[in-house]
Amino acid sequence: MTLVEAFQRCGPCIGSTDDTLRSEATGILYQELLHLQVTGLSDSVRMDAVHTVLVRFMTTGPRGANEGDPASEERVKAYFRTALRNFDRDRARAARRFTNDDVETLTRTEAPKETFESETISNARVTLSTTCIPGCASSLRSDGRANFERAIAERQEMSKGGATFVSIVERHGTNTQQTRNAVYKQHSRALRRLGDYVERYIVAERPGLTQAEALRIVYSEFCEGECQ
Amino acid sequence: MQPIKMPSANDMKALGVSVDSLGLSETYPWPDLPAGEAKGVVARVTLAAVLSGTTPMNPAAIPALEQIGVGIESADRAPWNVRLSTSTPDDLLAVRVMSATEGALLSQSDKHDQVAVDLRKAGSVLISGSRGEVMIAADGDGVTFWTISGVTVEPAATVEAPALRWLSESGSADEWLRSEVSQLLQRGGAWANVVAAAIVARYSAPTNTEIAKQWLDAALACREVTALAAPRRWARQLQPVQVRTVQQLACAEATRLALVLDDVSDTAVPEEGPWQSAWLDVCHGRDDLEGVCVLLREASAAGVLQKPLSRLDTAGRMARRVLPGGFVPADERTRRARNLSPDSWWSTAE
Repeated sequence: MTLVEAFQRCGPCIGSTDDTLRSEATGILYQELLHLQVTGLSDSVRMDAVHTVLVRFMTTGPRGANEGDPASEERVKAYFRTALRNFDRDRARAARRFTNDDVETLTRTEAPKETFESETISNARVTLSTTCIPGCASSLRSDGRANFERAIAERQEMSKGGATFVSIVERHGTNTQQTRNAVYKQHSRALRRLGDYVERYIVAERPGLTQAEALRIVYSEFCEGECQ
Repeated sequence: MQPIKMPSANDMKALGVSVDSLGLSETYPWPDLPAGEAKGVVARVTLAAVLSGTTPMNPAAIPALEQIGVGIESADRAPWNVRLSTSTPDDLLAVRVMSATEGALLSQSDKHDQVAVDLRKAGSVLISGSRGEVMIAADGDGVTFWTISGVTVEPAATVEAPALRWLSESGSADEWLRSEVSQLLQRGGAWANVVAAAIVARYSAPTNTEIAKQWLDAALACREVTALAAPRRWARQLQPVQVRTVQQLACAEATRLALVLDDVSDTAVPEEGPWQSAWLDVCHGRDDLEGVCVLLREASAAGVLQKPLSRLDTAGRMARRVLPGGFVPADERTRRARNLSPDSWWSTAE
């Protein structure tokens, strides 16, 4: 059984003929988690983390083959690295609450292993800016197009760190709740339109799983930024 | 010519078909056994082989099915072991069988446009295509296809789940879980009951890392953990009509959530407001569906939810990305959901 199949088949035993497969899948994931390299996860925490994360995973299974689930060994490992890191972070937070220590001393920061080549991300950025954004704009009525293009340009500025939400609000008028809400709504509408377009583009062009995911990541970069 | 035998009144009632709605019919007698096998007009095949395409299939011309946009191919001279399919992958195909006989129906979770049916085993069958419905009834002599006029509405089945008993039997001390389950059971109705079962299946968790180790050891040794096994076994013993009710209610819930999601996206602003409770409602509803999927997978019936959930999740992820970060609400449910579905759009960090 491969790691991906184990990911799909892991689940609790319930006294059925599937139990052997479920148990075997759990065993494969267990061995993988025991040896998975997770930066910052100490040996004293590791066993508890592995047990808890795997039991949590098992209780939601068997997952079957779902859209968006890891389809490669690397993705399965990345999934569990994140889960183990989350466990560690939650444990550290709980400990800080208990000791009333609000200094973030236990948080580990490990950049998740980039599963995308930088070239794939660059290509996705090009697709977004040269195909999706103009394509989405041209699908709108002329009055909506101008608002869309302005909102997207503003989000680009925000995502590159060239402007804050407040500074953009101030371009539209006095920084009041009303203005903030109005600008937020324009941005929200534009981003959702672009998101819809990106999804339709993926369905129509079938760029491949990796490229599709890269396009989604690049799109989500646009959406980042605090609106306060 | 053989007399046309009608499907049983009970089957028709259960499938939501009235006698008045039955139109033209065609009957096909079964080939003789075992002479049929000797002549090669009856195939000894499994439905898995029928569905996978490893068995040679012959296109069958059944006008009633053609009218509703459903194609049929048969492994036998008579329409016995058949593969039903839609003309395009996005078309509708739903097959409801009344018989709980194992091996009467087979579908694949990733192929919603094809279903294999052993019509002889299945007894009464209702086929829903993109352009209407066809009733099929088989007995020892043959199989009859009826066109159906009007809309059929299958009555919802009663679904009850002893979810509080499961919690007691497993010795659960999780007050939050007990309270959620109690509220659902108090609300009552098929959907609330199945969600109660789903929440027990999804949120029964070891109270400490030592118990987590015990649960894991049990799994590695192929042993059951009561808390996890009870709701899953319950799902496996649901009758076909109950499974269909759960599937239909789950699809309806996915549609409702997609509509609420649109409202949230339209009304969310970077300040506190009613949109926050609507967002939590969507998150809880999506999490309910995740639990219901666990149960439907046990009943080999989760495939029907794949497309509605995929659509909902695409919209949900998009909505989540554009919501004003500092104002996205969280509660115990969304925090717990993160432990089980760390990459989900409906969960929140602590």
